[in-house]
Amino acid sequence: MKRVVVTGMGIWSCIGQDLQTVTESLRQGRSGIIFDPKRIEYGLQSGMVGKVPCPDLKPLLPRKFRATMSDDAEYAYMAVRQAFGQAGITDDYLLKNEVGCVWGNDGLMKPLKEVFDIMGAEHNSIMLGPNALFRGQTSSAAINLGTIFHLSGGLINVGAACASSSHAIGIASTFIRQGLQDVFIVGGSTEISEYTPLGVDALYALSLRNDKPQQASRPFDKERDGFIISGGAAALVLEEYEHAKARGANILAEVCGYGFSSNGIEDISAPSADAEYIAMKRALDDAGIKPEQVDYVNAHATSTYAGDIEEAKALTRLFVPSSLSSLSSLSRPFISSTKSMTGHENWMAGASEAVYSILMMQNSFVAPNINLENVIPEAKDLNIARETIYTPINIVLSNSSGMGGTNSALVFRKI
Amino acid sequence: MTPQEIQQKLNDFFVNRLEYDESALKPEASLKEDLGMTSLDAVETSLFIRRTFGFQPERGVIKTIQTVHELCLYIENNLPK
Repeated sequence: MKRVVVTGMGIWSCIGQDLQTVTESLRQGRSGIIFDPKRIEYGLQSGMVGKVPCPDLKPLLPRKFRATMSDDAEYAYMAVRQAFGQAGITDDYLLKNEVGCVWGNDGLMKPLKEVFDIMGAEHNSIMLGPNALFRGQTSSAAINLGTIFHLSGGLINVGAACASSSHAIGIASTFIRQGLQDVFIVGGSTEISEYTPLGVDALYALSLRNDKPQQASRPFDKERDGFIISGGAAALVLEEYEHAKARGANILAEVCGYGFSSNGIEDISAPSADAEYIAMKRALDDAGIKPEQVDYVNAHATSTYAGDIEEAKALTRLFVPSSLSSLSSLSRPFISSTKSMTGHENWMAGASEAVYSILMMQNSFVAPNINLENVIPEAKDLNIARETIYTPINIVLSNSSGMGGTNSALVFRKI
Repeated sequence: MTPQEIQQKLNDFFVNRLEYDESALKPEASLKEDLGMTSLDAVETSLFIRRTFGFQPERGVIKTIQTVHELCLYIENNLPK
């Protein structure tokens, strides 16, 4: 079986739009959450959101490319150009070699609202113009990336709720391990607008701590009251190990394990500790790594009532043998949820958290799980980092879970 | 509307909306070869004509027109009376 390595990364998020800034945000525990009154005016209960700037693409891309791009495709472009840049993959390389894309996205709202607004006013589909289709597809980011970067390998969008881009990394890694293709750009992107995603607000799943936006995302804390909508884009260049070495690429980490599961229960919105455990255990088994070898876990924990409890149960089952008391917590992996700073980046979360984890690995620290004051009982035996921990990180487990019962876990190793 | 006004409105659309190179905008310029008109640009041009000149070009007709001058003539000849 071939090995898979990461040779480039890019990020466009609410805690920074380049790797260096994001590294500092993670190190300092800096929140990217703001209160946006437009969300309340529109009728949402939760007015908080990750502040993600719109990139100015006019100096970078001709209009023929920009015209078909959704907002999240624009974020994706910014992340991917960083990732290719770090990997040393040039325009010339892309023209002469087969590079694929597996991208995570599970829905757009803003372009669809624009379509429905025009149809409501005009009652004539001709008035939509030529670009509405490409802007409104769930695969908008993937297909636009394919066009802009001349990708000629497999081009696939993965829609698996908030585990979309974690699965995207796992699926592309599997393709590379099987020898089907040498290089993929992978990642995920999530649009940010007051329309995104309205249905979650209706589920009472979002925080209402509107007066304290930077304290609102509090994974594993007793006073948590829901998650914060966030988004942007994250990208990684995945490459077959020997191919990367032959190219002289700088290897950032190895993707050595992928695990997945679904909940298999009738409650579509309920998380499942059992299913999350299976996905994480499968990823570790796939990597040939024992739980006690893991240095850091980037938890999915979104700051919802049920989700954090179920994940804490799964993590405890995986990392806390019943024979050990809480006094031996030093031997357990450090755990944090970077969503405490970023909010929930939804479709891109699996990819962004892979980027955050590898940045921590490169810089030997664990980012804090900010806003954790009183830990929930289910997480009392976990080694959750409340402050920045400076420590070598060789093996990371990144957990992701999506509404509807889809789970994905990835293992990264320093090489 | 005079031919000059049609030409001016079309030029403005090409430069400001489709971002074509202004220096390439000559009557004899090929829409596809010189300006780089794509199939999506042709659809957008059709929509522009409908909004600006008050008639809907027949399906696919823009793609059969070769030059800027021919497009101006087409618009001029189809303006609503």
